[in-house]
Amino acid sequence: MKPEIIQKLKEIVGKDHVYTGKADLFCYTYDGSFSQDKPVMPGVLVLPGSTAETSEVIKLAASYGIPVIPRGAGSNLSGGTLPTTDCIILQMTRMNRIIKIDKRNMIAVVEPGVINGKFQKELAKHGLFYPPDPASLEFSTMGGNVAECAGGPRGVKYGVTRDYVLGLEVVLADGTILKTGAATMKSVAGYDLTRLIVGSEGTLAVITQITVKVLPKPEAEQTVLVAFADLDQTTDTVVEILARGIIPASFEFMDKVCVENIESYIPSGLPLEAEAVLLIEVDGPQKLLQEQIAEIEKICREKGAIQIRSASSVEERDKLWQGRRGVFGAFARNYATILAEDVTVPRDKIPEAVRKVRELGEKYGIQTAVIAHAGDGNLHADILTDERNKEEMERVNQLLAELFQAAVDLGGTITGEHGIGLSKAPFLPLESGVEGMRVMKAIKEALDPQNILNPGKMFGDRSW
Amino acid sequence: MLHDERIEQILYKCNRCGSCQQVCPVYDVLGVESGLARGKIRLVKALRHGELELTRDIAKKLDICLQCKRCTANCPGGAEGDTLIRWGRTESQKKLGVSPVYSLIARILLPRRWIFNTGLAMGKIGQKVIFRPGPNGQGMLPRIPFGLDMRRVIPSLAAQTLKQRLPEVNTVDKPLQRVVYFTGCMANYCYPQVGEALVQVLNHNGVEVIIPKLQHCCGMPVFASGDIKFARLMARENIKVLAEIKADAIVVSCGSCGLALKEHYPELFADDPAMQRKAQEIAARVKDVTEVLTALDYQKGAGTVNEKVTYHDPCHLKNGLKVSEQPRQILKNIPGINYIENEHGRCCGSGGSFSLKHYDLSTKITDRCLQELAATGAEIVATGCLACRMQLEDGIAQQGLNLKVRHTVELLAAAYRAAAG
Repeated sequence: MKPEIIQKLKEIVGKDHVYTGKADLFCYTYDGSFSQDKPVMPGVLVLPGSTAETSEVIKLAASYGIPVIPRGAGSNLSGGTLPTTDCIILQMTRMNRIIKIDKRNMIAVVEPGVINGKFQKELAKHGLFYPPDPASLEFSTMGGNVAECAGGPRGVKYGVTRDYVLGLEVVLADGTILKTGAATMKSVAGYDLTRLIVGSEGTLAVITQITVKVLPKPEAEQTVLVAFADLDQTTDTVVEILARGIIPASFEFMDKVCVENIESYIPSGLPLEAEAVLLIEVDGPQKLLQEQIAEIEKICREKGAIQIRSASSVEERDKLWQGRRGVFGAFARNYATILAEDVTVPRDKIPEAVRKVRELGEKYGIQTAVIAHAGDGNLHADILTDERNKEEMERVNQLLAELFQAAVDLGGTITGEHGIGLSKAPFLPLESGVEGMRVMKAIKEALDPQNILNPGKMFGDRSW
Repeated sequence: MLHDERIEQILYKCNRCGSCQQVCPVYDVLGVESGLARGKIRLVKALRHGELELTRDIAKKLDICLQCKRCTANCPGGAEGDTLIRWGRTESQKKLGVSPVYSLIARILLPRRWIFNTGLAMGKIGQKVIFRPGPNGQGMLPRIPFGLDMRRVIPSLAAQTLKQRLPEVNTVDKPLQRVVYFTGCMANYCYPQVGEALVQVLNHNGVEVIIPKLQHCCGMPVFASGDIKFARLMARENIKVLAEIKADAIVVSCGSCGLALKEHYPELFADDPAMQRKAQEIAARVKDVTEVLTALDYQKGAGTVNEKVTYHDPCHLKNGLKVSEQPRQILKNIPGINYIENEHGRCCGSGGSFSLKHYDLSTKITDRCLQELAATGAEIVATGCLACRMQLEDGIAQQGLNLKVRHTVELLAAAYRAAAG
């Protein structure tokens, strides 16, 4: 990075917010994703304090044609914030104000650096909540959540990030500040630019302000843990519960391998003969929940459950969730590298997808396990491996390529909530086709003709 | 398992998820990856695997860690940020050397009991020459710079050390238990009243307390800086002293001393099985004083102490000894105490020598901690580590807050005194 650019960046954001030391920059060669590539050093780290400063930084970058990588907490799982070349890392975490919580209209306005979990806590004080709850919510930022269109366990009932974003303020690739959407539940004025930017992974614009709709906080929650000796029974149960008009807030699925690992790590009374376990959580008015739980338990029994445990107090619910929360730690004890994939299929295809994961694991000699948000078909196929074993990693790569094809063949998608980034860029055409790629490329070129916003992500370096 | 093998294994437990961002006190202030546990773990990996050469720049990053173990306690994958960063510090001491000030204090002064004692005894007279009274009559401020920040308020050295004030054996009629009290430097030299309170409450509940004269600094400051050779030297001395005394438990009034004895001594001798066994035998008996009390049927109802109290969790006590419920239980059971919980329970920013080397950063962490403690409306902050106490008292004096810091056992002792009239 040229010294004159560094100097100008310091003039824009102040010298305390520009970092050029080698050790500082090396700490931006990774994010939450697993990468087998050699680390690429960024040229400079910049933390803007306002929309105006962000705009000035982008203008400067545009005038020199320097790539800019917007970044929040760096917790994404698809390499979305990895440098691919000398670039500016634009970390948005200083812009962390909750600008407005409007209880009457049930909307809130936040800056991109606000932590999802902190936002939740503030909303709770007003009796409100914001449903998207990625596993990273205690540290990931709202800006990152919007850029990646984060999901979470509550997707089946509440949808994902895109279902809550009403409007955005963004900085375009030439430094222009653009406002999209409206602070209303309805707006059909022109193209839906808001949704275009949600999930665009920093390739179209830098998000500087977010307007979201929020909901009244449910009065209570209740949880049931059910074990089945047969894989198909779990999905039949999920389908039946929904068909009877009960929409649980989450349907967490764990397969046999998860159960075995959990029980050997933090015994929580899960039956070892279970093929799969479902953790079902309903939320809403207290008086309705009792009936719903009774109905759910009835359906589970009809479908052949071998164990049913329910809980309503916070402590009891925590106990039921203990296994689900500890599953990663349980894997980490035995495996050096855990890749959490996120292919997603129509919910009734989950048993088929789980069997496919196992079949591929056996074919390539790789240990797999499946956790899933069963209500919305979002699988987390966990690949339990060791990155130090190069030959095994080669087999992992082959397994993944086949898994992505299988997801598309089942009418699903190669990524439900982690994004394309760098990791899945080679596989996007598999799902989007030539036409889809052409349209996306046209949009990218229209908004970022110099290709300076997060280059290499989503499209990779492939030509098509 | 050899220490180096273990380091390599826990290195891979970090999958860079970023979860440490919610707990790392340094990241909370600096807001950049190189301040975060994840960043420093990545630097350590790069050093071990030859991706980076060790430079002063990198050593400096590894130096800005409080060793609070919050990342370790919070890590979903079981990575140990504090252990990995200490490995990096050991490497940088080996390759880049240590500063003359560090060498004087840690390698010459601390390990030699007689110099340490004489120096501190002379310090009692000398402190009047080199320090002036602090703001609002609290503590002292340095008159001349000698490694301490000129703004820092530190407690006056006690006129008589704890070991001078109390006999070696503090017994009671028909003792139920016999414990060794590992006083640590802070209770011995700066806060002997805490040591006295500890002995009073244990005696009151039928516990005999031995205070071995030959015990010595636990070595935590040296260990945390990565100076394994000198940490071993100091550990060896204490292990010798403690192993000779028959006792049911080894009691501490500072979380950090407790952590050193319980976790670090065995770790220090990972490559020396015979010594490690001895260290483990001691480690198994180490307990915080509140653990000993709550495990006994200690006297709860006593005289009234009419105070609004909150509790500050010392990082090493909570994340190292896993003690956080016991002191709260004791406080809540003291008649008259209005106990108010604080929101997150932040780190006080001390980190031992961290607060000396990085005073500005440390102060910012302290301010955030104090802000939360003050917001409870409490007038007394109870805590279980005297290094935290010193740090919090400095911050309170700087900001002129209406807060006092006390060890949990001091409040219990006050309740017993009130009952006795």
